[in-house]
Amino acid sequence: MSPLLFVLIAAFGAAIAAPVARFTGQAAGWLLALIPAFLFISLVQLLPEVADGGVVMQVIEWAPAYGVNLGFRLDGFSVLFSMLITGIGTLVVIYAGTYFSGKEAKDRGRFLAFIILFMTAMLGTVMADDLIVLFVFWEMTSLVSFFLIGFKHEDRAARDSALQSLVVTAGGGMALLGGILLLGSVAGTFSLSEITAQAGDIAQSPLFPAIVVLVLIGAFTKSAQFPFHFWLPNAMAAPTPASAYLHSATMVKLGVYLVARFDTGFGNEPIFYVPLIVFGGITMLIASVQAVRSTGFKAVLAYSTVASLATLIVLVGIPGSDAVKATIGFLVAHALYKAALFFAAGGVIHSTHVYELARLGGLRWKMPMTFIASVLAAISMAGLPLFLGYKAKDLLFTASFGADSLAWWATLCALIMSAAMTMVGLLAAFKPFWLKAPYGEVKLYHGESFGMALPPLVLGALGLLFGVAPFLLWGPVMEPAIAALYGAPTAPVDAYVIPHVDARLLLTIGLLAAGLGLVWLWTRMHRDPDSLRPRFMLADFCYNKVMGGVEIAAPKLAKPLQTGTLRSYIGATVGVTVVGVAFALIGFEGAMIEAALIEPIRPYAVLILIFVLMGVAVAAFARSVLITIIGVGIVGYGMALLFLINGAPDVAFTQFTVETLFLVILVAVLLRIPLGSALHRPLKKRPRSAIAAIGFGAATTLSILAMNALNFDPRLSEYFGEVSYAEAHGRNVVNVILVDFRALDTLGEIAVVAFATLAVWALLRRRTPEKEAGQ
Amino acid sequence: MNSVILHALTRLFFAAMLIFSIFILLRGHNEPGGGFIGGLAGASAYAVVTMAFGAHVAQRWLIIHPVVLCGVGLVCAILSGLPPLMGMGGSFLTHLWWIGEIGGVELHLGTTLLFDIGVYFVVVGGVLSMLFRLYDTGEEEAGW
Amino acid sequence: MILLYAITVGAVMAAGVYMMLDRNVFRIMLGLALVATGVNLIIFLAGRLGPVDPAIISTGTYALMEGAANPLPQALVLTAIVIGFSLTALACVLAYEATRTLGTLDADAMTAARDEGDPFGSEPAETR
Repeated sequence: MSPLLFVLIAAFGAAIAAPVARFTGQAAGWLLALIPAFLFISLVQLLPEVADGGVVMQVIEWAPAYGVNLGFRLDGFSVLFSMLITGIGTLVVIYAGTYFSGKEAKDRGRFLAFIILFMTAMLGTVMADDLIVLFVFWEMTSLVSFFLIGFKHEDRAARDSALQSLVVTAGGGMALLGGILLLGSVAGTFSLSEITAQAGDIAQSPLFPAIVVLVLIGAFTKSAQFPFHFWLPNAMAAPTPASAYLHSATMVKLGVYLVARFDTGFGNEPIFYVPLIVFGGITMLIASVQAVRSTGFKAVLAYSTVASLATLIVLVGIPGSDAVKATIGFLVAHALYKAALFFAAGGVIHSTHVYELARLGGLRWKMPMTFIASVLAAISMAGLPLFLGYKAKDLLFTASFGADSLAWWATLCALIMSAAMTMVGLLAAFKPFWLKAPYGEVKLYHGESFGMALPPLVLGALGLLFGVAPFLLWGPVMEPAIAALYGAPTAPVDAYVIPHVDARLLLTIGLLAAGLGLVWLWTRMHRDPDSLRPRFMLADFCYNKVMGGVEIAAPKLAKPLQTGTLRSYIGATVGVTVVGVAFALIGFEGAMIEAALIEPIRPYAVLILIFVLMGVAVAAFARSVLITIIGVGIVGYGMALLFLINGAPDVAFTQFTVETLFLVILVAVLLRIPLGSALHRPLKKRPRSAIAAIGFGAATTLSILAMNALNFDPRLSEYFGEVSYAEAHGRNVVNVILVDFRALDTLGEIAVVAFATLAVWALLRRRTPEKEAGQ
Repeated sequence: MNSVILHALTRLFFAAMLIFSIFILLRGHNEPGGGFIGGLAGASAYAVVTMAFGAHVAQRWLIIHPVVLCGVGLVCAILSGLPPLMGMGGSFLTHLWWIGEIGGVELHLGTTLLFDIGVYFVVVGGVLSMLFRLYDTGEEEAGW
Repeated sequence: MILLYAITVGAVMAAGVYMMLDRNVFRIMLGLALVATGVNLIIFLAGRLGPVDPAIISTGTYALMEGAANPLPQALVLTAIVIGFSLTALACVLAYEATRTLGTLDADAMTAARDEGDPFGSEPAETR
């Protein structure tokens, strides 16, 4: 299956989601999940093709004039990402179908459509080879996530969060577009694979630092890295299935995906990797602290996501094959356990209507499947042996210890982050289920449902399965991705099941102890009801200040510029035009005068010109509007005569008729509105208008003379003259140009006429008496 | 306007101008003329009727609603460009020609004619809908 | 010759701009019409003056003869005239509607009426 087909099938799924949801009711989730499931199986079948560094390319010409192609490329890394997107997507769709089962079919359909559309956009992003295509899909994910976060649009907080995420991610998208365009101008291509191939040359370009900064802003906003980390925890306003999908498993990893793609080419440039390690590290620390401070179930998980993303960013930044292995390992492990935990959290919240982790407790017998799933996922998250998470953590520390530069910083951050992760995992697994509820027993509105318990259970079990049977994952799926990302074959990852008894095991035990300590700290911090209040968040505060400032500054800036007075707009336009023309024409006078005097004077023409000038004078100085109309008419008829004596009978006739019809229309208006001369102000009272008008007239005259002095290129006109009869069978060249050579233009023009017609028709609709009375 | 002479001459003018406008339209490919000019002339014919008898009479003489006429014109113009897309070669609006002889006279017929007719209709419909709206005195409900 | 044409077009444009700077909306519309006419002539002049025969291939020949006018600007101007007409008519109708609704011909008074429903203002827009 070609990459484009994947995207198209997913888009088709999004298109049919709403009607399917309407007609199938409760089963909608299960039915629609067939589409991502089908895509997932197709991807599995593609695995052998990309196993040994193989690549599936597909290029369709899109806008060849700009060098933009609909280029798609599937290698090991893309396939791995796509498998995460479709695999978790399948579970999300099943989960969402059940999650919204109590809601109206319309809401369910809308949500499922958005979720599948979201999957489409993400698939497109990771499959794109052309950076412009990648950008289009990238922005599409931002847009769709806006709708998902703001899904509960009656809720103000949800709307604010949606707007915040859109402002941050779409703003970052603009930076990314800037970076891509610069990159394209330096490299001469938008193809990611070609850019990677000539990365060395591009890095020498003086524009390279600017490119890096812009691309990193794009990636950091998307992946919620410092200083843009604040939007992701707010985005948990989305319904939980969306949170699970867009904020923990896949979408926010697109930023990681992007820097990882660039890392293949630019990974050894300090200007590229140092910011990754530094900012990623800062984000890890901030997110770890915030995870401890947070009370909301989803908030705790969201901050742990920010920390995990930061870890991935740091891992991408660290050069060398060890870091690449760790990136891939951590990426998959995190996607599995985090989505599972979000699913479980959503299940608990759905059943209890309690959002704060601190209030929850004692649910282990009431929601046993969710409990088991949480425990499985949490152990993987805490990085205990026999689980995939252990291997991921092992690779992470191998990479951070072995970093050439900033190893101490990476390791320190990784240690703190791991302790916080352990805490989050333990909290999520045991606090709602095992520990006692501090504020009395939690009321259960309904028990757990199969459709919402199965997805986390599957993901949690996978974490264990891949831990005890590593050959299922690493050989067929991970190694191709590692090879694709590193750009060269690497030694296979050590596929142990029972951990080696060495310093790494000791580290695990130490981290577990630290995590337990943090759990104790967390329960102490959130013991009294006071702690449940929303906390002060510096980044959010700054964001709100900036947005508030924009709201205050915008009208202050807009009001003096947008006065709403036509005169000031025209005055400004005229003034700028006159000054611009004057500057452009300096030094051109000689040629202008010379060229102006070549043509002989024709007496007829002179007479008509005088006629036109008379009309101008009448129009400009008449006191009454009626006389002005006559003046304008004189000018129009004079123009028609000018066309006639210059070999343009078609134009002349058109001008005659138009002028007449214009008069007819004006008369109709005059019949309806008495146009007095009350408003007339004589020239003496309008010196500024007169100056502007004379300036503009002079600029026009000079421009025409300058145009006349330029060399005339007759090729196009001659071409039309030659082929008009031979190829288009018409002797009237003007008409042949209109209906044949430039027919598309003419079609557009008559469409304009038709639209103006529609507008007039609607504007002048007769008002019914009731409406008049109602005004 | 209630001039007897105008009323009497209007029918004559109208017929003459309408025929003239169609003549202009049809000869446009080889002589001065074409859809734009023909359309404006045709609209003028109806403008005379409007001024003499009022918008509702002109509307009745036009038979078809002017906005619909506009739409018909656009459709004609678009249709004329479609044959190349249906496997006849070329891109949208590449005109096709049929050249034959009828009674010893060489005849060139092309899809350009349909395009020009489309232009004609759009111009007539466009001008007349403005005109009818502005001259619509509300004396007679014509149902539009 | 071109000098005279240029001066005339300049005068037409000057009058058009002068009228557009007026306060009477209908004079503004007429100014717009003048400017549109002037622009059409500029496009025509861009094809250069000189030959005065219509751009029609005479019977028996297969290409445009020497001495025929430049057909390209004619085609452009022709459509420009028609479009200019429909847009000016649309503008007139808009002005007419504004006048009828607001009861004034004065563009400044119309602006003032708009300011009563100013999106930046603190007071909510009131319906008449």
